[in-house]
Amino acid sequence: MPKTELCETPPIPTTDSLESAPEGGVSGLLHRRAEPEAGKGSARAPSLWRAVVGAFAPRACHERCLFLAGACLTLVNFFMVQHATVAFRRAEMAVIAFSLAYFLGVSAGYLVSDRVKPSWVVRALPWFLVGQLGLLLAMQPLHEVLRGQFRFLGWAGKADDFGAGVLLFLLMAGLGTSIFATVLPRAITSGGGDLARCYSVEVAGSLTGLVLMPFLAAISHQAVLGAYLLGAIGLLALLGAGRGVRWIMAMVAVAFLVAYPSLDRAAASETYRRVYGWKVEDIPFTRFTPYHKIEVVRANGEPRLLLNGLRQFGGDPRRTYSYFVSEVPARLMGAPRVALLGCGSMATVGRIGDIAESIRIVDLDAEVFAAARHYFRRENRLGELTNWTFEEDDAKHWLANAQGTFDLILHDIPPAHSRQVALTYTDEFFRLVKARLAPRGVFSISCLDPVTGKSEYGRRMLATLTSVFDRYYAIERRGSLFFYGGGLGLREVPPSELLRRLDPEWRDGSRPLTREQIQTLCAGSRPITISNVGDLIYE
Amino acid sequence: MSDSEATSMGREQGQGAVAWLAAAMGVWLALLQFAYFFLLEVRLSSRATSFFVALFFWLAGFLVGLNVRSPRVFVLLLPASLGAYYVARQVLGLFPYRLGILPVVGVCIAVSGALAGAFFPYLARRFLAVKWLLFHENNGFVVGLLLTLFGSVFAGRFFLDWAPVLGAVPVLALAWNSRERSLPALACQPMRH
Repeated sequence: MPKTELCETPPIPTTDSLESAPEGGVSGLLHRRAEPEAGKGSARAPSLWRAVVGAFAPRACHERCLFLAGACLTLVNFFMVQHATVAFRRAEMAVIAFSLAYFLGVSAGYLVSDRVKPSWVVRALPWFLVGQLGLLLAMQPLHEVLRGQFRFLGWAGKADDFGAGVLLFLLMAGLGTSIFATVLPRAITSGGGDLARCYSVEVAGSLTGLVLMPFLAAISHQAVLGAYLLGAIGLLALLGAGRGVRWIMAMVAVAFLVAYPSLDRAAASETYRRVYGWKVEDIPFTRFTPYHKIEVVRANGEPRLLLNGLRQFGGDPRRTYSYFVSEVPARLMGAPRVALLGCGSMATVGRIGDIAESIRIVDLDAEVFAAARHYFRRENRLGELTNWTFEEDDAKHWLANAQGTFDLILHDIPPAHSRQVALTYTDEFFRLVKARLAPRGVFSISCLDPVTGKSEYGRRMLATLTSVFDRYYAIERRGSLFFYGGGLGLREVPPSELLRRLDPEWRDGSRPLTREQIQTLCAGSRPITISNVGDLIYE
Repeated sequence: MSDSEATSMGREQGQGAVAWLAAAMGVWLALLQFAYFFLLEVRLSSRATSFFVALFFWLAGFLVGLNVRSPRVFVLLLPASLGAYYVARQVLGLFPYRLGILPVVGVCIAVSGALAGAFFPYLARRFLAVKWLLFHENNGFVVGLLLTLFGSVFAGRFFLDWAPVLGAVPVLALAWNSRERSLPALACQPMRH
């Protein structure tokens, strides 16, 4: 029986050690665990579920450490990547930076696991947790402060972003996972070298964290953070931290959770002042979901919707957007049956609510819908309109399974900064849309980026759209391009008629484009498919 | 058995063919795991539920694999996990965007996860200190992660079709190479401090 090095008390002998388990693995183990229960004369045989839970439940002290370390590693993965996404404001870059930081932290933990004494881990863990909490709160403004410093040093263009990203990456690698990763190799040592048993308990902890995550996230972000802190403090206690340290950490955790909403708002306000130049008056709504950090910000006298720190609604360009994306095609069609893919503030619904026969709103994130419904009710008028329905679904999945066809399908999905979103700008996605259009139906989308500038983003989008839709026309307005496409049954509206039917407010500066002109604009650009969405993401 | 005897019999502290095998396995597991995630994202749904379910099945399979004692099972799981991926890909190709398919895909993911689990006890006996096995496998996973995150967006279709099988090639070669120097089953020894 090896002396434990992880815990103050020696581990309870693990009679079910798999080293002594019969050939047959799990089934043998389960069988052996069932026997004592029966021997006790229990009224009914233990269920398979109880047997499985019993088999992987932590029993010895070092196993409890492993279980908590596994759960903490899963929880930290989910909330840290959310904070990184908001700080970087580039979802895919954040995922790469965080994933590398997470796993390099694990490697560092494994590497030093036999060189750091358990007493050092006990002393370091509280500081590590405090640093982690500080990083969570400060990551968003810190990214901007670091960018500013790098610009001051002459790092122009994207170099300031890169420099700030690398420093945050190092902080995440150091403070994210490394200390938890020291637990597994050390526990295997102190548990008598039983890798299978020790690793199983850690994975059981990870699974527990994974199963708890959706429930905790549905309650609030603080619930996720609270569960994590509880696990970390539990680990600290098992590792032998004194009562004083445990109490102090518990107080720090409670104070952090209580102060978190106001501290987070202060950090976000400072960031948006630096990034957008806004004078933030209030942030009445903040919510983390599996997909976004949703924020409603009142700045410069008007409400703005932000998803992962990026503007979705607010300011005049968004009104131009909703007019051209939704109202122009809806008025040309009469009383269309509309499908709106992606909701944002749903100002598009407010624009066409009186014209459309029906509007089906589809969004992956029901929380965005709920926030927009409440805080942008003046723009979307959902309270007064009765011809809309909402479905929480992925647009691809919904298009493939929806019943019937639509006269007008609107694409109101944010720019392709992540793989998940970029998949809705591909040839494959647009073909799903086309299949759901009525014979004379229109698909309306904005190219989001000037098509005449240096950037290829808009032209690649246009090339993709022209490769899928048979008939199309467009309106160019101050560099932005609004595309209207359909099948062979679509009537291509002549430029003169299109201009005449525009609201006088929007006529100046708008230039209708024919199919031939559109083809010239995107000539030589390659369409976007699932094989090259990276061209959009990293453009 | 002394450490020097153990080393002379092929047990290693973090260098040599078994270290490369651990790293190659890490690369392959990253390719395989993320190929499943990407496959679900492209052919089923981008909803968080798909990701959570996939990760759940992977970890559940991992648990089962960890607790399988026979080294032969690991050898059987090598082709089985690869086959499971292509079964999932084929099923999702035939029935795209059908959530009812998720349990079938989940079983495939669990089979691949079981390979990941079975790998650690299989190779642990070849390392003097288990931390080196975990360290090399994890470093390989980091490399695989990078390949995955860029491969899936710059060569998505190729990645889905070929990454899992290409990732398997070095693992199979290294496993075959190290097979001839295989050792009798030894429990992982405690580390010295």
